[in-house]
Amino acid sequence: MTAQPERDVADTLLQAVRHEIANHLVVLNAGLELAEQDLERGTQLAAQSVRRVRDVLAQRAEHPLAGTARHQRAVWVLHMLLGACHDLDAEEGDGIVTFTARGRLRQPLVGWAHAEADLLDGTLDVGDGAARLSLPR
Amino acid sequence: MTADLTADLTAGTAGVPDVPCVTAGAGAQDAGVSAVGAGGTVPVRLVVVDDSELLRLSVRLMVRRDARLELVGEAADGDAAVATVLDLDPDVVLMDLSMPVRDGLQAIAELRTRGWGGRVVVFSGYGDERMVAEAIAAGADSYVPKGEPSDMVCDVLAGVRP
Repeated sequence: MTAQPERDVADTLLQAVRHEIANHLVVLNAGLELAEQDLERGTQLAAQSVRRVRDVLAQRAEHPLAGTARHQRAVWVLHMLLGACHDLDAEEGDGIVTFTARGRLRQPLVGWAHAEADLLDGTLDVGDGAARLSLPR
Repeated sequence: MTADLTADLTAGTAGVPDVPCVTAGAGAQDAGVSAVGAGGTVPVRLVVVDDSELLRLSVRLMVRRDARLELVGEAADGDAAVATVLDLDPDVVLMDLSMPVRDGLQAIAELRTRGWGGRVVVFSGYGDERMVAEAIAAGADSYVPKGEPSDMVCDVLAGVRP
């Protein structure tokens, strides 16, 4: 890989992380303001946004079927690859969990996502605005 | 992924207006008429469009603190946004760009094509600069980055800030 694509990948990843965090800043602000009137619920909301930001920075994302750290990492890779990740589904069969996501494909991250899938012992298929990542349970 | 706390927070947050949220395939509903704000002026009627339920809840919490604004409807995707806005005819729409079914860019263009003349404020995250430029070209009026202080967002929605 040449230097320029590496920088493109790094820049795109950084933008993706900032994009994810920005969403949660809105929620954090709302939680802090709500806490002025309702401390418990405001704190709950703020804590939820902080957890999400922590997860983004820790390079993992939630999904009910993402039961292991590797699965959470796989979901995060899809989030990064597809921008705002919509319709994230998962299914399990024959010892394999397959996460399918749709969104706006970040083209500079395709090679990076394949490398990540290899590290996770997974298989990645990327289409137009969609991707599927399968890995062992 | 946000269902855990969102339902609880929504149900238990006294005073947060409950407005209809429309998704693709569902018809837009009448959310009621405008009320007169605390200062005696008619509040700016707002529709918020974002696929994140938690983010819509956050905007709801933000708006209820500002008498200049009245949240009259919500939508969770671009198709629902077009239906809701045309049905409710708000003064301003707070529009996310990255959404399922039809994104914010397409929704803005559709609204303008159909002749809707209200204001569109794009509410989007970092890294969407190219899409924001396209949104302005498609007919959006202004852009507020997500993560800005809520007072600033409300000022833009109320029309006192560009």
